[in-house]
Amino acid sequence: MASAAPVATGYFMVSWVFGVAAVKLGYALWLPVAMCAFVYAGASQFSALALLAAQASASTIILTTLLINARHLLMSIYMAQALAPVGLTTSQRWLYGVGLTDESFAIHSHQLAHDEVRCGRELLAFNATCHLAWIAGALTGGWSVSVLASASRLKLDYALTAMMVYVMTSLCVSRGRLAAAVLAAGVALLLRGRVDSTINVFVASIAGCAIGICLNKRA
Amino acid sequence: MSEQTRLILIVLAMAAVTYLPRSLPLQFDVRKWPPWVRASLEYLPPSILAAIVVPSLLPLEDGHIVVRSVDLIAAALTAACACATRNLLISVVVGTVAYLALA
Repeated sequence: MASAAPVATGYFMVSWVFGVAAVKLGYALWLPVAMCAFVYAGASQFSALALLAAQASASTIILTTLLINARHLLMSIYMAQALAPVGLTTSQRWLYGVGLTDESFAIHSHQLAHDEVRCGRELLAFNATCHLAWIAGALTGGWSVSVLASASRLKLDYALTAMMVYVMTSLCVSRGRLAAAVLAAGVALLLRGRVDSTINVFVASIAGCAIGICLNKRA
Repeated sequence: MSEQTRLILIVLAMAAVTYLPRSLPLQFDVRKWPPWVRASLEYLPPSILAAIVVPSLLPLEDGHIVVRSVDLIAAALTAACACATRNLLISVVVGTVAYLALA
């Protein structure tokens, strides 16, 4: 479970902040904890909190959540193929979807590509560890607001960024993959400057795949 | 409807729209898809990660990209370490320690 350690640590730190923010906005502790347990999506949870505080309508909050998480559709499509060798049952696949996040996708797609996964249960255990750390962070964060006047935090959440950088670097093993990553990053940066859209990652990833498959056909 | 009921319904709806895109495609039988679609899936992981990571390292404030050298130096060290060692834990520890030391 060594691969879950940096992710679980980062999750705990980030959701700790989430718990603090929710309770400081005046919400009862159950709200951040329930969001961490049932929604389990960092960017959407923070956006939902900001929208709730701004008195936004329920439909706005739900639509925003849907758009922010559109990128997981692509990750799930990739995983449908990548998970084939580890032989998950249908119900295990439904369970796996609960824990599919940016970080678990990063780690698992990398491990599966390098034949480092012995069985499907290993992946489910990884997801459960990270999900529990996510819930525990919000619980202790929200609880600490009422106990501690001001809680300091060590910026260990950079561990998550470092982990994503590691996987991104390791995945760019061929010219085609490197070209796909460079184009996707460029498109994401360009789109962000021009249109305020939460599906940037989705569009940029499709562009990356397109350049990859073009180079592949020519070679 | 009480405020508490409203919040519970919002959390449940958020859970549904988060869970379905994550789980439904896992049930697809990708073997039946055209070969070029399956071949292009190979490029999804690096594309997705680059589209998430690179903009997060270059945050936008008031329409301008902000260059925070600490984040970038720590990320460059992590990437260099990833190439040199091919070890996740070592790379993450080096990157995070570098970030904490520089920040």
